[in-house]
Amino acid sequence: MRPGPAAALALLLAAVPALAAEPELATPPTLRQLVPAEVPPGTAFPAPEVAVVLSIDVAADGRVERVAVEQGAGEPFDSAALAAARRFEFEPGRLASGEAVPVTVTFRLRIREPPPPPAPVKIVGRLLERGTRRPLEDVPVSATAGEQVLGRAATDPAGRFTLAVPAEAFALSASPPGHRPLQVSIQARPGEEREEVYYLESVGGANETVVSASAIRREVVREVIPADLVRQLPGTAGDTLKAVQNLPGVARAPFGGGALILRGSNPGDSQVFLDGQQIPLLYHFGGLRSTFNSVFLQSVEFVPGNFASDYGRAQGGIIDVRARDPAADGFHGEVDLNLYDAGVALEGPLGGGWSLGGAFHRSWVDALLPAVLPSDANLSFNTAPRYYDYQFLSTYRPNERHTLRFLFYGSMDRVAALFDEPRDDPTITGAFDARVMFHSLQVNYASVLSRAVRQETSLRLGLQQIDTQVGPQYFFTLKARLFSLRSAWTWVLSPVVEARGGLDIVVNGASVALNLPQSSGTEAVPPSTLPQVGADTRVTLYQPAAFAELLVTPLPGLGILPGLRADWYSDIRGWSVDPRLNLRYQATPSTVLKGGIGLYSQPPSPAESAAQTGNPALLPERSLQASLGAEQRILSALDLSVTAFYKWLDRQVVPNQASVYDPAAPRYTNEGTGRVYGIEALLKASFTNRFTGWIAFTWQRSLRTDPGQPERPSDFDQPVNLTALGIYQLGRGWSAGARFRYVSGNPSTPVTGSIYDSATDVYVPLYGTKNSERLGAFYALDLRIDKVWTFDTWKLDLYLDVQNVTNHGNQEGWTYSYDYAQRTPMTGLPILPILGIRGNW
Amino acid sequence: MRRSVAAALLALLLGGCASDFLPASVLNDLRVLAILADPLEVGPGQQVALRPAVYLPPGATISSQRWTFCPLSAGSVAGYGCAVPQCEVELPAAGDGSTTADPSALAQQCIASAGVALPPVLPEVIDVTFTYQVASSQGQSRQAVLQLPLWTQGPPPDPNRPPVIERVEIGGVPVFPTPGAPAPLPAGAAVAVHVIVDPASVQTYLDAAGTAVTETMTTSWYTTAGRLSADRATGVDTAVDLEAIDLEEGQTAADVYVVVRDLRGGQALAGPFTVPILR
Repeated sequence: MRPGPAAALALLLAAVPALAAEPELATPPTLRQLVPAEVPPGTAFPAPEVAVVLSIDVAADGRVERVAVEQGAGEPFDSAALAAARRFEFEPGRLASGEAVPVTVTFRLRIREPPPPPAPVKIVGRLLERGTRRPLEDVPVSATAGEQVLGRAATDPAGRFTLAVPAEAFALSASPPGHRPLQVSIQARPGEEREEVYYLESVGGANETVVSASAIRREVVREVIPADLVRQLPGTAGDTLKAVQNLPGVARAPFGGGALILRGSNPGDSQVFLDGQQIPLLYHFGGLRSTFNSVFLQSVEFVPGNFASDYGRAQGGIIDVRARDPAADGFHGEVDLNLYDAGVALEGPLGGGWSLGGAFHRSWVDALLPAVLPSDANLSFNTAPRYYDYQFLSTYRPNERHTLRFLFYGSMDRVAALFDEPRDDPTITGAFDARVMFHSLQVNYASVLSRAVRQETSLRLGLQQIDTQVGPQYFFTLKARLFSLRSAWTWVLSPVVEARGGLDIVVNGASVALNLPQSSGTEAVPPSTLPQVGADTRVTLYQPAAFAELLVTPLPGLGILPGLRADWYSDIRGWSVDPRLNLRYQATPSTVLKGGIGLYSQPPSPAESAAQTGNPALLPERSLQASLGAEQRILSALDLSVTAFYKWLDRQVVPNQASVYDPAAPRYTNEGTGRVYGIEALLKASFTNRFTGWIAFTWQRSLRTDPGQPERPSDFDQPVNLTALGIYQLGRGWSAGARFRYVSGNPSTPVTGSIYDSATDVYVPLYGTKNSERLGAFYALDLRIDKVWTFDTWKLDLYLDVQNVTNHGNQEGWTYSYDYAQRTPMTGLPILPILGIRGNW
Repeated sequence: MRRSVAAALLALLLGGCASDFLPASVLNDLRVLAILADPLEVGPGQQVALRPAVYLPPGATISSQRWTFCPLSAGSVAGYGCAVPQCEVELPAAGDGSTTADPSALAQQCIASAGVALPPVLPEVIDVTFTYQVASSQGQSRQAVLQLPLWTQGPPPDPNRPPVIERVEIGGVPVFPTPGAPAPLPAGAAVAVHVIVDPASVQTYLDAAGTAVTETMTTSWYTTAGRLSADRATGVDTAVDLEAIDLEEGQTAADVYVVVRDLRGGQALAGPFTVPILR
């Protein structure tokens, strides 16, 4: 720190001694110690130099005994001169004899105007997170010199700050939460303007705890997985939707595929949404990778059952994928290369409240497959399996009350193969060609209309096309145009009552042409032994729905949510009305009690209800769901949630065996029933910002009853399902994760013999009691290790995700000899290392 | 449908991987190779003759064989069980295993005796089911079915005809229809088995969607020794290789059978053709 303005140095004129009729002064006093006069800072000088004439009595010992102003210059100069002169030290005057004698001298003290202070150093700085360049907002920044604070500022939303520092040398410091502190020394020239950007490394926060929503929620169970956690989960290779398989209530899909089996329901009984609109196709090739890439993912919200009234047409559960806004703080990008695909993403602000982002992925399984396919495989590819997917998002936020978002996304899967010889079934021969694609344009508009009213509306237009040819006989072609509208309005009627209502409309116009084996719906038999079903038709499905609910909070912490949903299904010309009730009660600051009961209806699939292939007189399937549970915070970093549930299923659509030999019989009926019950538990832990993990356990029975048959397990009845996973930040950019799973084996129907179909040269299996056996239990350990190099403006993430580290052969089914006389376990994927590298800036 | 596509792709890819089971083309136990029917479609009052083509392993004899008829089968999903069990009748079997029947008469008999209610409009065509059960002296047994269309309103308008095997050659040596002696096959070597189907026997018909479809001829090969490079192939001119490998103790010849099917019930059998094996 610089001292304050210094006093001017006085110019010393030779003192003029006063003469008296006294012994002659041989040596006049001489100034030995000059003390400069100090005027207060900011004193206005009438001239660059001011002189004060003083009369100073110098004692024989050289001290100043008395000072007086003879010719002053006014205050504060006179006082400053007097104060300085009193501290002068003189060599005393001496007579010729050498004797020191007191002398009075006249002294002209000059006081010079100090030079102006140096211009302050101007620092225009910016604080950004290292690697991501994310601005660090509202961070206090200070400039200090020693203990003295020279200036303070706080960063704005862009991370910028400005300081004018009245010093040439100082220290700059800041301590943003969750980041390494800034401590830097500055040496500058007076008046210099410096622009600095500082990159501060994050030291935590990547492992945000799996967050539960606030105490007053609309669902009994809703788990939210943040995007950055999705990308680090071991065993999922960062796949968005497969991350859900680690939660309780989700059954394991065969072969690690993507089938969503929630609380014992069938794979088609649950729905997946993207910002409120149903995703047309979840996975590439039925389960390989999600079609919506995680780069623009904000979170995955999972509701296994008892969901609120704004969702319907499903008797299973709901998964809502939430996309995030493209970055508005600057341009960012990502390049991702892994075993499955390569991808690129770019995003940034467009100005005026707009931001835009886009991502594209392309598989290279087609390049790898020929290398791993056995040489004696009866298969060659004209077009090896490949897929593309893309997402474009744009968000406009003119202010806090309005948000407009556009999403344009789609995917395409393509494969064309040639079977060199007929397969086990002689009709499966020749060309196999499949192309599945969709494109969707979605507009979401959310606004806060007043303090009491808000709305969320989304509109989607979509195209979907499926072209499949299997051999010379079988084909399926679908061209569909989809329109869907969802609008929900919320009114705060009073401090304890909130009403919500809206519309959920789906219109689907499709042309379908097919020639396929009639679905048996039970166990697999050679397709050549089934009657063929042909159709060439156009169909338009109208499925409007309305919903209404109240959120009543009569007591603090108690939320009661009664709701009602009504659906119309044009294909079966039928209605469904579903009342629902959910409750949540924050009994203590760390305990929540929850429960729900409701009716959930689901229309038959288009194939089941179409006149040409199904039964238009079907009724909607229905389930009555009830659940009861509690959430308990055990420690600040440990949460436990337990939920018991029971589902009654009726009006389940089942194939009508009589239609095989009686063409007049309906192909499907509503005679199926079922029930599902069990307990789910989730123990979540997050310690010291380094460890995040959870244990998910489900005990559950999923049972079905076919017409005239005893109750039996469903195809995905998994009584025990245990997942334990954890991710640990090792430091220095390293993190490691592990996941262990144990799942009961899936039910299996034994084959008791076979009968030879002479016309087609195939053996038809004869089945025993459906699902009366069970495959071996599944267990696997997956490991993942990440190394992140963080540079100032970009990050590089190298990861290795090894699925089934122990290479345990988990049974997924049976492989039979041609006549089913012998069988051997068919195992799933062996150890599968997936190496990936991702760079983002 | 999307799930079916994905499942089909997965199953097909996995099926491309080899298994340790003996292929269907290797004959080492009691097998029904074909059921030959004449005619292949019947109308009211028409008789049909059925003859099974059975392979017996060396030293085995047929200990029992039995035919049954069912007018209304529950289909392959139910193992071809008879939808109206009381309508399943046993048919007499001759010494060579053949049988004859009048399907329309048996169906009428079922309706009359079982008290089955007739649908308002009889379907124009009903697939009736003939089931053949055979057991050998070695304790093996097989069941085979053949479903034939029964036209209820009159004779079949365009009846299906069985395929005609025009020629079979082994190693370039014609063995059918003119008998021939293939050259001996050294152990470890391979020889081509070539089958030509008379193109005139390939018919065009209308499928369930009303689309005109040309029959796909599928040839199945069988051998009692060695291995075939494929179990079956499609087309009117097909060939596989017979390899003298994986021979059992004492095997010095391979008997080769050929069955051509039109996948609509029409079948044609040729063989056995003996290929000597040099060891």
